[in-house]
Amino acid sequence: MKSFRPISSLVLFIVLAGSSAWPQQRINLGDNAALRYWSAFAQMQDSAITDADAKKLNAILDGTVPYDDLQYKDLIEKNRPALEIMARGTTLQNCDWGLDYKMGPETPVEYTRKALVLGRLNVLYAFHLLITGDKDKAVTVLAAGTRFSHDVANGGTLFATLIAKSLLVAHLRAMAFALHAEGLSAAQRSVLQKAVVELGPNGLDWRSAMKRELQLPLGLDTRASAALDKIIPAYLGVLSNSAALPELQQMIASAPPECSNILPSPVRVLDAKQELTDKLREVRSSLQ
Amino acid sequence: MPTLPDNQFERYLKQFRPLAPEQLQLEEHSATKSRTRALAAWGSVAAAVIIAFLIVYPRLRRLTERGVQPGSVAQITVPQMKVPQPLTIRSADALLADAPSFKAAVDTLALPSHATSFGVKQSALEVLGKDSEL
Repeated sequence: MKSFRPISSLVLFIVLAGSSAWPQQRINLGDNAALRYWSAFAQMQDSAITDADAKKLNAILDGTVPYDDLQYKDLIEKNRPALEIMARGTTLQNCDWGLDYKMGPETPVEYTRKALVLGRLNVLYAFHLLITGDKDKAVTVLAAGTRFSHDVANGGTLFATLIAKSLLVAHLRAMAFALHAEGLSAAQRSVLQKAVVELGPNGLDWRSAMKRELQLPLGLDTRASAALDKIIPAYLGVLSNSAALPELQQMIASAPPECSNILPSPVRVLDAKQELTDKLREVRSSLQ
Repeated sequence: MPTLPDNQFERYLKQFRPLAPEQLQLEEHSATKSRTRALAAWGSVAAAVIIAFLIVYPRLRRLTERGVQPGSVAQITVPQMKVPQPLTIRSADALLADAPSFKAAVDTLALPSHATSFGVKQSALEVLGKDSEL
């Protein structure tokens, strides 16, 4: 009987501790930025535009044509609720897209397409705010968009990282425009500076993305699988040391075709990574 | 009628002459009936068409104003339109491998053109989905 009391107390403690942990876990699961982003995707509203408008829109995002507020303010206005939901999502620390890698190459990544659209709408929104003179809001929108762009790559493979890179470059370009054309106050520059610093020197975790990409179960035969096992560390090494690129290319060239054909071009990956690093460096120095 | 003796009553009856029977109204009556039925049928058809138009027209108008959304009614009923498949890692990687550049890969990824029934107009979100940076 004496030994029964400590055991029952222990059981009671474990049950109580477990039951108090459940609501905590539920709260944590809900604090997921990706869920807010999906909510924003669902709120997006389309608009019909002409081919000429479409070309102009791309040129604006490329930074070769000035933004025309008369043409796009309606599209932006219609999508403001979606953009506000996205911005609220960026305040959350955790962003888990819930990718089920057990599905291998069939893992759905539709969110990347939607994220590309929403992120680019956010750049237009920032231009709209700058044109209408609301610089405080514009820098907040750019900072949120930068965080969102970074989140797009979270836990994803190469493709998600490329979408994130594209969005980051578009936001950084808009920041450069705001700095040079509009003239920002110290407080406004500080908001942008914080957003850029949070990105780190390379902006995105290319290594982790490539690791996930290369480790997907592909059902290769033994020979191809053995070749891939040797290539993976070399590929990941090149992302931090581009001098090893020729050696990696040689390994890929001599690998069985089932293996070499599925590998993304390391040159293109390095170029994309470098472009983002350069843009980050440029904007960072402008913000100093 | 006054009560008459038999012979007088007989005479009284004889003054009546049989008349040629009038044509029966049956045929005309049935013709009118079938005309009414036909009218009612056409009326129902017309009412159904009007109701269907009233239901469909506002939707079509909304679609024309917005541009067509993927998976919408207009997109499903136009057979030549491409319906985008859900994007997977495999299809995304295939795009990256086959395209001449990452930028071209994402252009291919963008939502299909579905402007067939709406002149030269296209979806603004589709254009935003075509990346030029990758």
